[in-house]
Amino acid sequence: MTRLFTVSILLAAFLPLFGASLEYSGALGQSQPEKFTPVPFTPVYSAAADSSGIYFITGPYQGNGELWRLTPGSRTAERIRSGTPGPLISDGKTIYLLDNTRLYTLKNGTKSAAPVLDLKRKFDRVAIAGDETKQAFGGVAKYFAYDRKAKQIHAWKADGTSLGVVVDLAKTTPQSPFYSMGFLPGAGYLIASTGYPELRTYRFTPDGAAQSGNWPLRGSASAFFPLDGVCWGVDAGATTFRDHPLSSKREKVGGETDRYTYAICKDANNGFFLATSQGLKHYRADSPAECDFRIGGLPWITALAVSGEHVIAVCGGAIHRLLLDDLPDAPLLNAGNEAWRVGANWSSSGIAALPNGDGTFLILDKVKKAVWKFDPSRTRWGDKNRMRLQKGSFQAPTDMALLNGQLIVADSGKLNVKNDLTEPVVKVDVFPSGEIVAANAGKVFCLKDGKTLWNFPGKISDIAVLGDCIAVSGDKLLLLDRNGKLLDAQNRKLTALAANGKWLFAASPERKGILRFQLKQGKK
Amino acid sequence: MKKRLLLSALCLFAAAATEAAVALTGDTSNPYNSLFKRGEGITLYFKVSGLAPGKKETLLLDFQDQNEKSRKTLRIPFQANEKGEWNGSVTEVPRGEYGFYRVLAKLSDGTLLQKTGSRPAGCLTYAVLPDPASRKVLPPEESFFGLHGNSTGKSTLASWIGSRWGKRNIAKNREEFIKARKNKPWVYYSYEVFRGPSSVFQQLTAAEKRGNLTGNEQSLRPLNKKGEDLFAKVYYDTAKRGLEQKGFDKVMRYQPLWEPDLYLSNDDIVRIYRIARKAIREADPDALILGPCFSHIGLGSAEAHRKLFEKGFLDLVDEVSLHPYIQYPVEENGLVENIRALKETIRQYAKGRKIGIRANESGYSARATPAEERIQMYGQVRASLILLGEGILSNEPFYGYDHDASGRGDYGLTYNLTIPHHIWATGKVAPRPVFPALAAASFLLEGHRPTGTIEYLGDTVLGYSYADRNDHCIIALWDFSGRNTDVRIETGRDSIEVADIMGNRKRMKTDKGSLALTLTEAPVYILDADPKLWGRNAERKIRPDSTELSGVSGGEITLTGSVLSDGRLTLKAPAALRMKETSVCLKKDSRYSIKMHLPQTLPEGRYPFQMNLVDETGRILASTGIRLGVRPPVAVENERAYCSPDGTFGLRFSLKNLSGNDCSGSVSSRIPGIPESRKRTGFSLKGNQSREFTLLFPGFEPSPFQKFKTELTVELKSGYRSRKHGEFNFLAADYLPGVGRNGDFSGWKAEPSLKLPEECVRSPEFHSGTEDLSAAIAFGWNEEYFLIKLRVLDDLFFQNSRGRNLWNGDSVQLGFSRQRTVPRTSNSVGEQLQLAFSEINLALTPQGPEAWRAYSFDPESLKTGLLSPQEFPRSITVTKGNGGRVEILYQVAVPWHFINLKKVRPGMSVFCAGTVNDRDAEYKKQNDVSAIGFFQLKRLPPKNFGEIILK
Repeated sequence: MTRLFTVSILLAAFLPLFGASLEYSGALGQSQPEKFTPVPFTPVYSAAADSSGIYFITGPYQGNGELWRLTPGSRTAERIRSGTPGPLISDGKTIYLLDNTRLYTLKNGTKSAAPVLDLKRKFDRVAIAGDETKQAFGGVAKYFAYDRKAKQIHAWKADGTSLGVVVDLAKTTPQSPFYSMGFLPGAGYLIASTGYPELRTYRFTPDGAAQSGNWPLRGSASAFFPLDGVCWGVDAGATTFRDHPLSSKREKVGGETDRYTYAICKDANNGFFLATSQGLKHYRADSPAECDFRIGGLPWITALAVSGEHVIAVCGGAIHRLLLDDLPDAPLLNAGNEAWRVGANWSSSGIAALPNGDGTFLILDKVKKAVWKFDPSRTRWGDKNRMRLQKGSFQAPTDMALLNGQLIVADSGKLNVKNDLTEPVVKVDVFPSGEIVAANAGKVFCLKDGKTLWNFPGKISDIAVLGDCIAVSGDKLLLLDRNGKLLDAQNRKLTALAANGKWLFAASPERKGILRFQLKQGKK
Repeated sequence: MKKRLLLSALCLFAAAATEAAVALTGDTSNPYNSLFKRGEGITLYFKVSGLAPGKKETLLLDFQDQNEKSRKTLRIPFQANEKGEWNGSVTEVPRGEYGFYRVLAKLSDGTLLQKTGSRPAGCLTYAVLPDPASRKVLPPEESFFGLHGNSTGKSTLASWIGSRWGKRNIAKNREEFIKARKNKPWVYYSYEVFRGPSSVFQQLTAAEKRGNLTGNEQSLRPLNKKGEDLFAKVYYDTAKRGLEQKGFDKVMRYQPLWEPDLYLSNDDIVRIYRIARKAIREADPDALILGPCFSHIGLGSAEAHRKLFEKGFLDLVDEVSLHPYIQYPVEENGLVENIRALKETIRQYAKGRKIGIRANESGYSARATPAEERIQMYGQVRASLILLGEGILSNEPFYGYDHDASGRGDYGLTYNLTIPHHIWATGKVAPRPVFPALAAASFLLEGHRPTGTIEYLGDTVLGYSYADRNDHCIIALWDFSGRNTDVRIETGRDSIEVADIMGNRKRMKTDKGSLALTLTEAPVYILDADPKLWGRNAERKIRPDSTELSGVSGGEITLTGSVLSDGRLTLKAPAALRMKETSVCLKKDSRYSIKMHLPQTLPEGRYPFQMNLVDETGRILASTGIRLGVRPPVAVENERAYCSPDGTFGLRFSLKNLSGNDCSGSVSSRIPGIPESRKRTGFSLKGNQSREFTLLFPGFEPSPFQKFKTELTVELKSGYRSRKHGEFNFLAADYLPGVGRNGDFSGWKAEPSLKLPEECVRSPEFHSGTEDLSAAIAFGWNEEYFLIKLRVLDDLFFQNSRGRNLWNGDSVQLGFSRQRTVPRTSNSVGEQLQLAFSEINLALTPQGPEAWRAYSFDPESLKTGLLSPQEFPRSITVTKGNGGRVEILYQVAVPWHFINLKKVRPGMSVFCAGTVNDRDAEYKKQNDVSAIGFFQLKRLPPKNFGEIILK
């Protein structure tokens, strides 16, 4: 603390009385308020609700997550425990937690001491019938589990007695294999969805029959959830599956940006929460197509770029898109986990990104050692123009900038334009007037016509030209004028930077999101 | 090894060659149109060729209906003869139910039935239909169904689809007519269309646009005496011959033009109709004239017709004709509302005459896939039911058969099997699903006329009741959402027949007259409903005071009316309202008053309520509905862009408390992607109070000609939330006192700083970038004028035109208006005055600066034509600049009364758009001007004008 204080005083002494400064203007991509533990991951794989709140599991990948709770009416979540495989399963009243082969109840976020059922082995899907359903399967069993390999649904009574195989899906021969299973509350039937390309949902009566009335239905779901006596299936958003599909409208929550949805639950105001690849998303009852807010973070950002009203964040396998004015809990404009949707063998190793001036972005790929053109406006399935590999390749590229249409690249520590630098550089940006700003881990350089004008020492992660200034991230956030004079310094550890003339966006590994700053002219 | 490889390759080649030659073809026992009467024997013939001699194969057949549901499958093993061929037939095919059958046919080796014409590979189709001989012949005024484009000879479609209306051509003489009529015993009523003159005219118009109109063509135009005489002669001669060729028509009908809105101005349409009517009536005083036959029906159709009717068009026609093409789903795209608006427009201009509407084309293009063909079927059938239900006199689905040469399927009700060799007047067709569905509609409903609209059974449910001359009642109902909706409807019968979209009937029991149905996109027909409830003279036992109510979320509404019979009145609310069914017991001739509380979070929208009057046994005596329009408790009104005196932009708007109660909450603004625009303020409003708010966005530096999407979100403490979206540009005019007075602009010192977008908006082939043309603009205002200063840099100044042609050289076209849009009313003059749109063109001509008013919102007092410097002060100067470029400086002062404004004050806005036109060579070398511009002058003016805020 003392050290920080001293550094601040020293830095302040160098700051000019008049100049410019950076004013913090809010966070993007991280729903938690500043003083609360950030949600460390983007996807939420599981969610269920009871009167004590909404419980969800988030993690780097499914099966190894953290259990979090959102208390009723709140948008701030609290971490309950880590190392939770899940998923959470609800029978419409009680929340259960599947921990490997054992099923526990979860009350007030606390896992029961003893399991209510041991499945003895791993199953692909588990469904639980509510106590109110006494018809069909509901009359004989409570717990159901689907073994995808054996194509069989097993059942257990409420007291844990195994009933063995109750439906042999191998007897039904759909065009695609069954990949999910659920329970229809009320009617008490089991339903199962087939995968691509058939994408239908079959209903099974206790006699094993799969075809009757309007079943199988068009549409499939990756999982099913009972909510208020209605079965909801999830895929890209959630849809209702009722026993008499022709006798009611199919309700829908969410849409294409919710591909994939893993779970659905309800809040006390009849609003919906969807556990999706971009986080836990809330939908009000009066606007079920429009996301109200999102709970989740945006970790591992390796590059940022601003174009028009949008900022993109390259992180992990995804390229996320947000609006510059987004609130911390605003939904993302993309589906979240869509590396495979980006297409064209995108290798997910972007280390630098740039606006291309026409709404598209250039993304530098560390592994491919080349530049891609990313067009976020192209969202149609299989549109290869969404991600296009550009001509030319590099040795060991680390950053790039565009000057009057020319791509300036820091490659193997060198810039691909004439310069007098003797030290290697890994970062580069440009002023529209032609000055090049480059940096390595210890210095920022400014060059004009190939000659170094000045350098500035510091611990540096990234640089970004911001209006008439230069923002520098590292162990501190610095603002330099174009003569290398320090205008502002803030104790923030940030990494990737991107700026337009007025706004600076910086990736915060600590906050698992993006911080937004506004360039202010005048005395700090 | 090499030999073995060669042998294998040869075998493969041989096998490939053999496979390539295998062909499967098929047909039905009615190869002309594959249409069959129910119960009639149907045989399918198949031929396979190109097989290895003696090869055993299997023919696989799957009979599917229009929903791709399999009705029957067959496996027919066979052995090829010594020529490698097989001929076979199948007689056990589905034929017991009316409908469409698609027979998917392939060999077990995967060889598909060959594509024939527009019918795709892998299938043949047939349909089972009502016997044409069982259709009644009704007089023209009772006949509704028609067909546009019949096939010829034995393939004729008209009798099968029940067409009684169609277009025909007057034969050259009576003998020819009698000869042509001889083979057409089917009764149909007709009208003659003058395609010839209109086509000639079309060619002339196109030639004129190209600029190479020859003297001969010029003389043919009906705009001069020679042309008028030519047109009149054609009309007269045809009508004279028509007198001798009436056939089944008691009176001859003539339509002088075909879709003229696509190529003629309203003035030209009226001119041609005057010529045509005079000539036709001279030849046949009883003839009826149809028109104008506009090409589609949409949001602007009533308005487009109104503009034509204002020119006296309705005096020239006896029936209005129309092509009601509209996107699917027809209901969501406003077919019903647009027809009603058109009918109302006709009523306003008909001077007391009753003028009916005929639809002589309507349809949907569908590629030959089951999914698209279902849309075509639903669209066509439902459009027909709506047109009949809304009182249209007749309708002709377009077109009898596919006629796109590529053979992928288009507007045809049937596949054209002779494409590409023989496209028009084909003699061989096969049905698409829409054909039997339309045949069923005409079979059930011909002779019926509408008795009521059913709009209250659900927000996506529509239906009509129809009755014939004997008061036989049929109800058609469907859900247009793509979902399924449960409804109950009173029929007055203990059991009743219900027919599906193909006309297959089944008897259904009712619950004391109330029939439960699950409605889908496919209409159902309830046959023989009780005429006391649904007939022409049905007594409406429930009489609501109003069928249109309005309320606010969280507020209360009261339904009032009276009943004409003892009973219990039940009120069923839509599911979104989450309200239980309400009921009250009432005596005969008593009044009812039912209060309902609307949920706090009920979104804005229209909600249908169903009201039933039930007797003591539970039988429904009467059924009706009301529609409730729900508004937000606090509405955002009059929102507009704002600029403070210090130049900060923002949004100004009013919040109006529409509920009677006090309420408080917050309102927040947002322009997505602009952080400075996120502002919020709290408010508290008393019941029915209205207050103005301004949210300023300091630091927001908008691009001046960009339109931004905006959001204003109102959140009440009750939990209600509503969001209003808008679109605004942010651009301000400086206050410049005295500038423009007496043509003096010297007080305006500031240079224009707003650079016009570089994009070329007209004839880009003549524009070579900013070096060719660029411009910057500034806006100002004072108590007398709206001021514009425009500096243009041009590589060459070229202006030889004058007057109305000023635009055709280096010039400026400016559009002004008081509003961008105004609410639609029946008072078109009032709307024009509120909108106050005018266009003025300016240029420096060899004779000096000129200004020409090209369009006026008030032609009486603000005439089109040249404007004097006194009434419209302006200054236009041309100077030679650096690098040889020319600088043209336009300064104009638009008097406020030109925009129908008297007193102006800061904070007000006007709307403006313009183009800077550029000509670099004479007309022979450059047949159009190129232009850059700001906002959109020519696209639906003034809807796309930009807003200029008076600072």
